[in-house]
Amino acid sequence: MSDDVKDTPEEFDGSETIELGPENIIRRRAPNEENEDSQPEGISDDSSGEEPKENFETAPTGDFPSFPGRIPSVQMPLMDDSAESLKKLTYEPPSQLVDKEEVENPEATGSPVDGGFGNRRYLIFLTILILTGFLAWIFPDPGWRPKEAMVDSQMEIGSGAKSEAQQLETVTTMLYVPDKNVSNLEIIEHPVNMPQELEGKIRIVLEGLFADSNAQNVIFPKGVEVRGVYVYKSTAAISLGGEFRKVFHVGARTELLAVYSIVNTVCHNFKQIKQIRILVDDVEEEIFVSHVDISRPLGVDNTFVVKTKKSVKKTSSTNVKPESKKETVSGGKHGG
Amino acid sequence: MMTLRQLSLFLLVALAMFAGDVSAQAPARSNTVPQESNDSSNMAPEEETDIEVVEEYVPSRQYAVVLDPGHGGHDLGVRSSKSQLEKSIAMKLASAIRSKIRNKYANVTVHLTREGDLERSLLRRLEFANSKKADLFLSIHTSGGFSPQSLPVDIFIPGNSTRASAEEWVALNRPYKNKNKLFAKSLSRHLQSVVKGRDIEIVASDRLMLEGLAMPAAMIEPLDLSNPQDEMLIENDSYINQIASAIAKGIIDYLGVRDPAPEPEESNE
Repeated sequence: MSDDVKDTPEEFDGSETIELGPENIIRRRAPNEENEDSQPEGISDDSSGEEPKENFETAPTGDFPSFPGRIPSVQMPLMDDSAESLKKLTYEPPSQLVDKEEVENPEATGSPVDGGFGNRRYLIFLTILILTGFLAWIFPDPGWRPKEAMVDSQMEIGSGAKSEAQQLETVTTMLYVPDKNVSNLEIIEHPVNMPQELEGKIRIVLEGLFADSNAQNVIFPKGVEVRGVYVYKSTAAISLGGEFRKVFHVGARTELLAVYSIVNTVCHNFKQIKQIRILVDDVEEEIFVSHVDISRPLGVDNTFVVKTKKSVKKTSSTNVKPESKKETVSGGKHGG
Repeated sequence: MMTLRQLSLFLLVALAMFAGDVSAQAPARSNTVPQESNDSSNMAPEEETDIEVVEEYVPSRQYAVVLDPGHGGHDLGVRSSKSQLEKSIAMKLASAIRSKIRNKYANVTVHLTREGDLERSLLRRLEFANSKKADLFLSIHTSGGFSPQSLPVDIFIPGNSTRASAEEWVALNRPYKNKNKLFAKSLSRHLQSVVKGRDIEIVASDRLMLEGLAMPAAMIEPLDLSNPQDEMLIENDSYINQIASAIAKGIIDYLGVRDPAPEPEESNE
């Protein structure tokens, strides 16, 4: 009888129904049953010297409470010589009642115990997963950024392609356009529908600047094409189609106005952009057309920006600096 | 012993002061050297002497001026509605200025960056001026745009370079920051009486390839080819001559060259 009791745990794997005799039936306590002792009697007292089998109760046939979430019981004969004499019982081994030997050395018994060791394994796995995530958060891959930051920091080729899925938002942009005398730049408001990505936004703003519909566009010839916008960190590379050069026969002032109309407009509307590298047909050029050096990125220059009623009202004072690099002598007074 | 040490220290200090005094007087003594050794080419002071000091205190030395007629060759520049080209007008102006200076001031040599309808890159023009060790550089252009509005007469001077300090050539003009302004003001002063009804603006810009010039430099656009009124005036050669005279006076005035004294040297051609 005692052999039967000791061997029974080998047969339990949580999905079995074991036929047990009246003496060697293991009683597993249901979770909602009243707990008389702090530990199950069957496993707690190896040192007491009592036979474990005597501590087990005989389970009542057929009315063993079912455990929620358990796999349905299966009838399975016990591999025992006295199987014929055993009463058929539906038995479901709960996780709490496990032979001590099995807990200490589950491999020795050859029985996988899902309740104890499985949970621990799961917990270890979960801890490693959390740790890995935490480390990845602290030490991110330099090439990796969240989606928003990626738009700002990565150079994306062909970003001008407008996808239909892009969500548009209406934004009021500020354009640096020539004033009435076409000798300086003034700032006007220009509402546009913008996509989400930064490159797309820059392209939209520039297209508004070059548009024929823009009445104040008198420094750019018709049909200036924005071939591409590439953003790398705080520098935006703007590639213009080279066709405009064939008809862009202007003096140094108008050329400077054109260049800084682009540079100031982009830098004004996108604070993360600090400088602009102008490319022509995707190629780095030394000279814009005839006079202006574009071999290096250009930052904002307000030399030619005048304060207008519009710009004073609708732009912050920090964006329009007083002219400091220019001295004017009125020729009208001295003209002979 | 103590007195000997003190004496030797005193002697050393006195010697050093004496040496300093002698070196300060040295440039004044060498003033005559460039004049004797140089003919029509630009002055080339002795390598050992401090060039700047020599240039400051020479009363009547040789001056070199580089005039840069803008554009050229395939680069036509601005085109007026009457098919006048910037490159031709710039050349005409530069030649007129040169002849005016040559005729009056024998000690001022004028070099042109291009002689004829040649295409030269901006960098090559700068290189040419630096190689001549000129006292002055003036680039001559005309203005123009897509609007018939009259543009101001622009005098551009090199601005504070915002480029990387690694590019040493852009720092060449830094010592001449104030001289650039003085030169531009001199030009403006003389042009006021010629340009009618147009403002004159002095604009500092670091984007016109002037920062690489190791001399006071400016770029001028005295005529507006997109303005109908200026187009009419340009057809008249006398107007171009007036402009050329004003610019020549501005150059001479800035250089501080006195009217030619009756030197025993060659008279005007």
